[in-house]
Amino acid sequence: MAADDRRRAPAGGVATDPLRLESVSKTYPGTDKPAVEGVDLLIQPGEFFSLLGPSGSGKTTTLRMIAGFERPTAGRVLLGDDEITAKPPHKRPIHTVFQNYALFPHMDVRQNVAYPLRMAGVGKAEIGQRVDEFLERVSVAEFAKRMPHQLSGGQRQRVALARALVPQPELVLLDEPLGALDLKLRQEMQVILQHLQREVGITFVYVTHDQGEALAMSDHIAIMADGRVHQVGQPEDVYSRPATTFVARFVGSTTLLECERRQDGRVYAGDLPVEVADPPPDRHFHLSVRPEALRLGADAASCDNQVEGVVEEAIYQGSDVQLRIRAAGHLVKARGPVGAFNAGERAGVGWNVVDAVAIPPSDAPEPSEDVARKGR
Amino acid sequence: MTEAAVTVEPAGPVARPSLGERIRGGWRWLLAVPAIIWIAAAVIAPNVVLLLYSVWENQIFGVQHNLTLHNYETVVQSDTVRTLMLRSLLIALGAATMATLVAFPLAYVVVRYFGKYKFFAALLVIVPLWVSFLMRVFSWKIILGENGILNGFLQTTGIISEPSSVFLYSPWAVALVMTYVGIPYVFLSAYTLLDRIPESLYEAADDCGASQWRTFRTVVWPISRPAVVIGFMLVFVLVFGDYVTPELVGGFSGTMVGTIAVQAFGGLNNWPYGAALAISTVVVSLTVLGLLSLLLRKRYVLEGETA
Repeated sequence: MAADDRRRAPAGGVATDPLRLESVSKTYPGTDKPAVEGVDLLIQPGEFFSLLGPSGSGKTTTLRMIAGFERPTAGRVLLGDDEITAKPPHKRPIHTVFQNYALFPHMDVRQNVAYPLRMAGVGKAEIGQRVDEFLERVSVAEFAKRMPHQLSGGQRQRVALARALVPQPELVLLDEPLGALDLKLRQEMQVILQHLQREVGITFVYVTHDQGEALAMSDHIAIMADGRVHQVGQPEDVYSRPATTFVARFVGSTTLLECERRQDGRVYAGDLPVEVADPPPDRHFHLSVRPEALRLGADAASCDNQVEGVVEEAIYQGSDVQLRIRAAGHLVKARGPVGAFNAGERAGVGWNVVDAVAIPPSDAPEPSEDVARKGR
Repeated sequence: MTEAAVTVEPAGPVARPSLGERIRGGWRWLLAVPAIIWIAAAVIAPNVVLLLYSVWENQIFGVQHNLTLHNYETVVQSDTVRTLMLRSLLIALGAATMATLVAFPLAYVVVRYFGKYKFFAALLVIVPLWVSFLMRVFSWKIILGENGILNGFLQTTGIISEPSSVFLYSPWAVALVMTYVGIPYVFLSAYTLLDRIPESLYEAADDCGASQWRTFRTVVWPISRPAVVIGFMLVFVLVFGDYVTPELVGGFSGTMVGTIAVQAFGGLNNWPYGAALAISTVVVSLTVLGLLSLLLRKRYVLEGETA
């Protein structure tokens, strides 16, 4: 697998078995529409794997089936060679960091972290030692005697993390663990999580609707919508070679041009003839052009594709300006230097064929525009 | 610009302070007056009267207002009182224990496994509370009596040939009936708390490797214990001072301390002695409640509660 060069050698790693989901589906009783449909996933030991998707995409249901809280209606879950599809959660070497932390309110921090070890029948002395180690690792040692309600959200989060990590499971599942934290704390926790994952060498399966988070932290990302997996790949893969238009729109920002091959063999986006590097055999397909691939003004002149447009919107972003340019009937999303382009002005837009990606039509149903935006 | 210019003058007429704001002045205590009157009239006054009677002297022509400890001496020295006090204590603790053993698991099962029907199920358990206490106790006479349902059942099934009178008129009958009476109280108390334990805590325990039983022991029980103890206390208090149930189903061997207190006020017409008995009962009861309250200590806060 191409991913191997990216994978870090885990220090004292404990994860040895890959986790496999084979055509897993889940339909909740009393509903017709499956929450998860035909999901195939391979998660390598020791990697940071993200399930990315908007709410209702089935990512949390998938996670809950890996944890054992839900039984798949079809398909199998395998850890190494063991089929664990029907195993109850307490018999799986898998631990979860819950979205609302789910710390035991009647136990202090130390007792919370010691709990899984107690249940595993680990000796007192060893419990003490390992709890100390992990409290230190997530920097909550000074709060060891506090009760959960005396902690801040970030502290609870770290205690929940320690509780999941301390029994050294094969897998740790994280269900939108940073959802309730403010931006600054989120960014801090992202770094902590990544470092921690590398140190302990445990496979992380991370559920998030935040594409930035997934891109920044993951070895591999599975992008889900409407209960299906649209694409699995490394962050660079899914960003630069989106498999479906949904992925293109959901991960990062992009301009999607509806393209058609006409009788003359040339490709047109509306009335605009475009050059495409390796167009798919289909008559209709999409072309995804990232904002950073677009050249503006004088720079556009040297590009393979060029079009004249009018700036409709220029939104100041600090380091640069986000632009919406109307060109040949299309609304193009671009980024430009501060002050160079203003609303109402004319601007040349261009891109090179290598910087655009053709997306063939897919059989996966396209989620509505609404759903694709929800995650933002 | 002078400093005075900084002061902002209110534009237009000053808004009238709301009722709450006005009360917040020096008059807030007024709000407590109805409660104070109620507590003074319904709780403190009767108990002061009772306390006074217990230290007054009973004479043939009526109660003399001389202070004496004679009534308490009689209470403490009486073998009958000691026996009945002990019996009442055992019956009350027994009934409360039995009611808890039935109601707590019941509440657990209802909350965990009845899904959207749990409220309906809970309603069924507490519905007997709408029926008069006397009726609920009396109905047991129909069940346990010589011509009762139990005897009828045992005779028709051939287990016994003659109707038996052992089921009624015993301390066991009192304990059984009071267990029945107490169940909704423990249930209600346990149900409200169990219902507030979030599903994620059960999942977290499962996730941490705890079996269902260990989850119950290490998570559910410690969290719900205070509520269960409250329910236990309710039943204990209800039973300990009761004189109606012993009267109806207890017979002679099922007499409790409340019975002789009633007799002292009634037939014996010895109010000071009755008052001393009542006060003694309250003291014993409070001692037990005090010990039980040690089990109430709670260090945690559940979701949705304020610290």
